[in-house]
Amino acid sequence: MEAFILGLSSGTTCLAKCGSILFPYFMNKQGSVKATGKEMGTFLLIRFLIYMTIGLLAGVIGKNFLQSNVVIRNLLLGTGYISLAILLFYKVFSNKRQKCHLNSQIVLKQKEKRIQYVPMTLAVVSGLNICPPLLIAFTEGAAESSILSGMVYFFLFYLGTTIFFIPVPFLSLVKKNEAVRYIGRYASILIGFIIIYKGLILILKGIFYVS
Amino acid sequence: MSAKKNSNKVYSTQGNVWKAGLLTLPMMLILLIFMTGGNLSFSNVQRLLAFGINYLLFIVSFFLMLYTGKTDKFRAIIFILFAIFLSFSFINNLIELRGSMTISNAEFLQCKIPFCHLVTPMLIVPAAITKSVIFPGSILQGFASISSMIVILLGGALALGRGFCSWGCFYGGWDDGFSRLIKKPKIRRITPHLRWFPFAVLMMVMLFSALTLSPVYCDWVCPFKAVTEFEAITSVKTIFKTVIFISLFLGLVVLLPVLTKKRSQCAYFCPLGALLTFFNKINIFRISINKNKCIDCKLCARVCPFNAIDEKTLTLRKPNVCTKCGKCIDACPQNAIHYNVKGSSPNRGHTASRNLFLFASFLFLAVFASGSIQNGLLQLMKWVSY
Repeated sequence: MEAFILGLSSGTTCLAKCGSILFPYFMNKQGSVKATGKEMGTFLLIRFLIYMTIGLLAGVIGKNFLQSNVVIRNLLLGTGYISLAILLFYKVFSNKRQKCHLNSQIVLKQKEKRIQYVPMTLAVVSGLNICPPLLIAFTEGAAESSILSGMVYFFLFYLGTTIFFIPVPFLSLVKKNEAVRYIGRYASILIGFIIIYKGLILILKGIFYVS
Repeated sequence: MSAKKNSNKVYSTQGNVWKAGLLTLPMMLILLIFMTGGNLSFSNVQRLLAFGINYLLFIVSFFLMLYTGKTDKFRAIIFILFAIFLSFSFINNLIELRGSMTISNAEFLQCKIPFCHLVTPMLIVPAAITKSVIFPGSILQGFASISSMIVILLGGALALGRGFCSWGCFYGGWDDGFSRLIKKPKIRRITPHLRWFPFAVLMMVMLFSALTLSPVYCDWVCPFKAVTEFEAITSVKTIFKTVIFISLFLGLVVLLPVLTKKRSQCAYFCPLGALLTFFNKINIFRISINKNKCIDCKLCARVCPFNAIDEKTLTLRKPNVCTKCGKCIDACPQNAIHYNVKGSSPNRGHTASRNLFLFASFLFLAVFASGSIQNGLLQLMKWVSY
């Protein structure tokens, strides 16, 4: 559930940033509901596969490198959490106007007239977007005790980010964009504080285990 | 035009002792019945005195609201006294019963924790999923039972919308009080986007409460544990919790309101306030700005303790997170801002709308606050007489 909530908090930011580009594309390009559904389905499926691959990688790294020594594991993870939380704060406070990186993909593919590949490209670019919440999810996935746990963590993170894509075509997104953007930003700040707390507890566990 | 003026003049009580007195009469009768429970005998002089002071306080405040046409300062007097006396009598009772302000594990297990309305947003998702209440309190019995507090909150929310934050919440008086300590703010510029922070807090507490099946706002971040009760320090986790709530109380409730003259905790943090904003959409009362009279001086934006008024809301003439405290109305030099009943024209009939709103909101405040103020006065007298 923590992964789901992390996904939700980063999903609001993603949605506010890119929703006004993604959804007009999906809703306007194809005539029928079936065709739009197919494009949206492709987009979500490719994102799912990418997130599962990242989850698998996190689980492998965690199992092979982080399970052997408890003290080093706690200190490394704790430091990692705190560093990523600081990076998250930096991202939230520094970029006042973040442009959606997907815009260039749509423009490029439209020019090339390879429209049927656009949803796949969008999904790959969106899934591999290295943002602090994704890095935090990767660290959390690596901290899990098994490869399967790491993948399950990423699955829940994926669900959290995806849930906003489902109802949005039916909402007047542009009107509420400012509120959604700021709520997402502030939710990320709160998640950052929670991650800092987790990091501090792990570091304390690592230190007091040694002594 | 003359019909409009006549309508406002007929209902206006401003400067007219007789009209203000006449309108105060129903409030006097209702409060007399409510405060005495129909029983006018008092066991000792102290009780009589406490009742007398309490009753006069409410009646005189309501009369002055009608007579002077000013709302906020008279509302604030009662609102602040409500917060102080409630905490005072609550802490006094705790010390008499337990000897300290800390909650014991036994009380958690016996579900003896009094329910506070701030918990309400956290109950919704777990109640929907598990059909249980995730708070260690009594559903029906005892002081501040869960059902009674939820009914009061629901009634207040439906009647006043987010006006509950300025006419009902027994914690709001703390930062309202601190925000009035100095004459001019030391920090003037506050980004209006901070008004969305409580919505992020609301989302997070609702989700984490569903995740952990515990009221995480109460457990971790509620700043008002500093003036009620809190968990004893027994572990690293409770040290963190204590540091958090004390820091938030000192920062959001004391320091920031003094420096900014805004109600920082209520405007920029409280998740219940965020939830109640949705009730503003269905509430019949609202604040409206007469665009014919408004000269864009932005004094209302400067005085608003919730940052509900800014460039955008002035253009739309509708403050969105407004708590109907009346401060902007009192401050407007052009008399361009009014209480209004939804559906009626903002340019006419606003005096009747104001009277209607005041009656409803003041009655709610009086019914909610009178008991606490009277108990507080009584305990104060007992202290003084020892």
